[in-house]
Amino acid sequence: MKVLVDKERCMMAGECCYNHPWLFAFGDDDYPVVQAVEITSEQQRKEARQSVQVCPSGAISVVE
Amino acid sequence: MAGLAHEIDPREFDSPEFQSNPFPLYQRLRDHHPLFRDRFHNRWIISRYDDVNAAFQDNESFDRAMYQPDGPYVFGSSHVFGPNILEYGNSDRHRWLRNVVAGQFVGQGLVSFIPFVEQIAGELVERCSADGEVELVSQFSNQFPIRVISNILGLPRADEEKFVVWYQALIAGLGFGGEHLARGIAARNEMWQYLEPLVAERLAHPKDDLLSKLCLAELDGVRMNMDEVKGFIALLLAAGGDTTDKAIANMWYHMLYTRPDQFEDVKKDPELWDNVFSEMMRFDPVVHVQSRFTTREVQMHGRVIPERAQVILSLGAGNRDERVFKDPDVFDIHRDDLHMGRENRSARYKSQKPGHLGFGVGQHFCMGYAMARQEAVIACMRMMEVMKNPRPKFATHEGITSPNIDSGGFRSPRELWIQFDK
Repeated sequence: MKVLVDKERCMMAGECCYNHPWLFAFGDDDYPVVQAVEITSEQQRKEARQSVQVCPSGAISVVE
Repeated sequence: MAGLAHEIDPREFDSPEFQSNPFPLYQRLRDHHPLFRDRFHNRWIISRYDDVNAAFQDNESFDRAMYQPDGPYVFGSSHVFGPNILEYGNSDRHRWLRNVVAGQFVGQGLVSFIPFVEQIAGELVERCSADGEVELVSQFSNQFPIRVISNILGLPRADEEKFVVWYQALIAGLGFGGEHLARGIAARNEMWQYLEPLVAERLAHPKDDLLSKLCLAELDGVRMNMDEVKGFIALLLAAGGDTTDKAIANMWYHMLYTRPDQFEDVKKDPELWDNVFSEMMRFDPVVHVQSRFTTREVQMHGRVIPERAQVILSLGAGNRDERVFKDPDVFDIHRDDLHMGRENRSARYKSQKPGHLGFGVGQHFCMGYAMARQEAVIACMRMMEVMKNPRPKFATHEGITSPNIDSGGFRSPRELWIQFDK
């Protein structure tokens, strides 16, 4: 599973970084950066999908 | 004797003067005691915008709940709503529980619910617009968010009235204590008895509603227990109902009494209700304080706050900081030094402008912020469509007050009578 952030659409809400800190962190430019982690467990997959749902600007997508 | 003029007697925080107008004391805090040691209440108070903003974002030093150095979080809730997830502090469990519902209130789930918010607002405006006048607090704002929440949960629409009654008893218990507290707890128990069979039903036959999501959510295969589900629902009612309710009343108060001149602009362009919401959340938000506990020693303004100390983040004071906002004591829906429009949990904006602190920032940023703004703005716009030429019934008003600063200091007008043409 791969998680992608579209910086153009991102409005810097910060929901991803605060709700799923193991997967996202604020970069130097204050936009979220996807962390280099392997998404393996079912809980992680679920959280990755939740991050898509919680993004107010629809900037996050997941490739299964 | 120099300096005594600026000394603060901590009992001032409990005075009626402070509860009706806290802003002069906020200014003394910011200017002369940016880190105030309140020995009388055994707490510290920070009040400048930058300090409050930074503390909200510093999870390493500040926690929402008191922690045990080598144990679980302290659950000390004698709270009228019972135990709730905020007591899980900065922990992963808090984050997980919030994520169960976050999508519903913030992201894509919110968008799909908006038509229903419109419908409920329309129904309620219809009901209270027959007489050419309305007491906004009891007839509209008190009832609107609670109806929205009970529908998001998926409770039967026929039972909405029950929830309005329970909710009003709960809020009175929270705000005023005494006999109200006993009635609040009785209402809570009634509500929980009502919910138990519904929870059992959702466990057996899940539906596509929030109650089912709460019942079925799993972390590592473990579900929330019944007390957690009930506490969660009570928190949604309190946090999501009371605050939005009072926000709507505050918006109307400022338009009718503080800036009737700018109200003319809003009448011409109802989209400006979004700006009214933003400026209200800066100028005098419903919630003025958030409490934190230090998890380690914190250096600030040349002093040291010890570990495990209570720190009050006075966001109501930070919002009036002249170091950040020009003419902070002027209510101005056109101000260009405040981020207008939707808030960000991150407190960072593409516009580079500072946001208000009214929802907090960071980990414990109000979960319902997007929902609250949508509800409030939709409600105000709907009212304007039906209630033509709205104006205050009385020339003067006692103003915005808070019942008790220790109950969170929820600030709003007690009553707000509006007249309009039918």
